[in-house]
Amino acid sequence: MTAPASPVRLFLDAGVIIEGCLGRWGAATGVLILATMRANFTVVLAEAIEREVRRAVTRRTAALEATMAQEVAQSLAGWMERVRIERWPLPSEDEIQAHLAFILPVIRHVNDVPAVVTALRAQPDWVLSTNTAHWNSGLTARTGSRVATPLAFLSQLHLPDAQ
Amino acid sequence: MPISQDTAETDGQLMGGFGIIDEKGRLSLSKPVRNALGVQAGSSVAFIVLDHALLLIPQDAHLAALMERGAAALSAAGLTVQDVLDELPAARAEVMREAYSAEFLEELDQLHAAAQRSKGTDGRDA
Repeated sequence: MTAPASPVRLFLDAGVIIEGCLGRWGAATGVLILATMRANFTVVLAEAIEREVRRAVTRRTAALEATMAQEVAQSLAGWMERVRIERWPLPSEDEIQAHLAFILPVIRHVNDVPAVVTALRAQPDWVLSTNTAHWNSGLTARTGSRVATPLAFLSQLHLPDAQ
Repeated sequence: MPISQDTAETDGQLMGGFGIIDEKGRLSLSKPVRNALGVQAGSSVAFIVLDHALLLIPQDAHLAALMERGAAALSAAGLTVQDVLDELPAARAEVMREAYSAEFLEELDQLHAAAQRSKGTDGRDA
């Protein structure tokens, strides 16, 4: 894979990051490993997603021994240090208001709004999510980005129109 | 000894070649390919099978170790990745409460409920 003129921008949902960093080897891990090819890929990281990931990990590991919790946290931190990250802050209330009419009819949960608005603003090349109920077809049509599961994304990489 | 007929050649940006997998499943990479990837004996790589193709990505050994230790620590604690994923809705709700005012969240809830009702009335998939 040669470096494209500009890196492919991947918006990763929280599930992809958690599964990829902490799960058994699977498509999500493959995506995270692929993303370490900094010349080829940029991770579009929504603050909403980053906070969710950190919070979910902390909630689950808070009761563990400190060393164990630290190893789990370091897995995430180590990956983040190795990828090219384009960070997007949480959208303001005004920014959310500006997109509401567009997304509310197709959004499943209100709490998904900050991540979805961020994706709309960032316009990544791909939105990768393990949650197809969350990133459903209605939302896909409105974001203008290609939305896929990690497996579907990896499966199309070898096709001529991959990028 | 790994058997290889790797004949890596460069053609502009493309480098490739042929190889033969030996009886132990090993495949050797020619020096030009190793140089192009920046790997040497003992280097860590990740590989991904894409349908009938193999993608090989040089990795620093430290990341591989970190990811393996993270998953192992979770497992040793009797937790699964699904346990962490199950925390996401609550984590997301906490982030919302921290980032936005109570009035705004209440308005958002009302607007969302109205949009869903409207969609239901229109007979579209809810």
